[in-house]
Amino acid sequence: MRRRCRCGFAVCAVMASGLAVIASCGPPRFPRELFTITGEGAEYPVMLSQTPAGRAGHKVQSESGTYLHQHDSGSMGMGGVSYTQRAESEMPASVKLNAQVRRADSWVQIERVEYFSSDFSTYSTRKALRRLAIEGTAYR
Amino acid sequence: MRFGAAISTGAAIVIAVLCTMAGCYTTTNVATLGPLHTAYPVSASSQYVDQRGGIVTEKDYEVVHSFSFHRAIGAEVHKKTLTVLALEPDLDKIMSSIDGDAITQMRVEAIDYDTGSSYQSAGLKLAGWTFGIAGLTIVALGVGIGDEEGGTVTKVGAVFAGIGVASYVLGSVLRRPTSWQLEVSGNVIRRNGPASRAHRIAAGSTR
Repeated sequence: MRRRCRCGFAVCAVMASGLAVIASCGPPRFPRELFTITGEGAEYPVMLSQTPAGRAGHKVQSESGTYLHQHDSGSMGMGGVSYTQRAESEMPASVKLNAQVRRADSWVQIERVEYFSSDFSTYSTRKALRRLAIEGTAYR
Repeated sequence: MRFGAAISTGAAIVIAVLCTMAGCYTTTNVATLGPLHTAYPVSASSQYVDQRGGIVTEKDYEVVHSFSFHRAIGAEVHKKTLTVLALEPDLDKIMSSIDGDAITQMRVEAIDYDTGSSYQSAGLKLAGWTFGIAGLTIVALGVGIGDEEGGTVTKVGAVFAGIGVASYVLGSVLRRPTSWQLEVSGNVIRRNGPASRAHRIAAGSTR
């Protein structure tokens, strides 16, 4: 009787671990931080509203995003080559933008933000591009 | 026999060319945000530039309200869509109910991107083109062969073409749009001291 219980427990443990493995194979996490407009950590104003500027400034711009390219040259089970190319920015656009602000700059005007996505499909090929681009001007 | 081989070669070339021409589907969803046209300052950091051009830091104000709202920017599948993101109406509504001086630490975060039916629709349309063109080619071959044997080939081609049409129609019916899922959040602040009331009155006259 005790042996049967142990066997049942082992089977349950194997099934639970199997389900955990399957659950972990879901779609990849959406990297929110790469698509966030934020002035967190900036010790100067990062203006999103139109602000009158007295002096000339210098342009700042940055981008971050993800890229996926899947290709499969095989068809109808005849074999072939398939590959997946996945790329992701190391740093968010907001962080890159802040890095371009000089010590002498007093504030930044955000002039244009663009959320861009493109999904391309053709025979045996799939491409997906997601990108956040930020453009602004840093003023003294 | 030589005539049949020529037809087969020609059909293969036609299939290759048509498949290349008809087999590309792209969905582009672009959302842009320009400088916000508001009567009050909106900053992404904890500091902001006030209407007089002075820099206001965290020491000069208190947060009176935190807000967040959701926006979805949709686009039709297999088309290029450009949307200008207008956040001003939502922000105006929040500011009018709170009577604040400015918005700080505003954050626009894409929490997800939904591809809608883009890939499923493209897959079915591509299958539609493949089966349709192959079917029509087989029908042409059947007509070329003629006799009873050709009749069977024609029927097979018609079935292929029918599957192609059905697949394409099904692909065209799938139209769930793609969308950027955006979360907008921030703090409404009120300036400390007597400058606060004067600023609000000045801002109120321009609102």
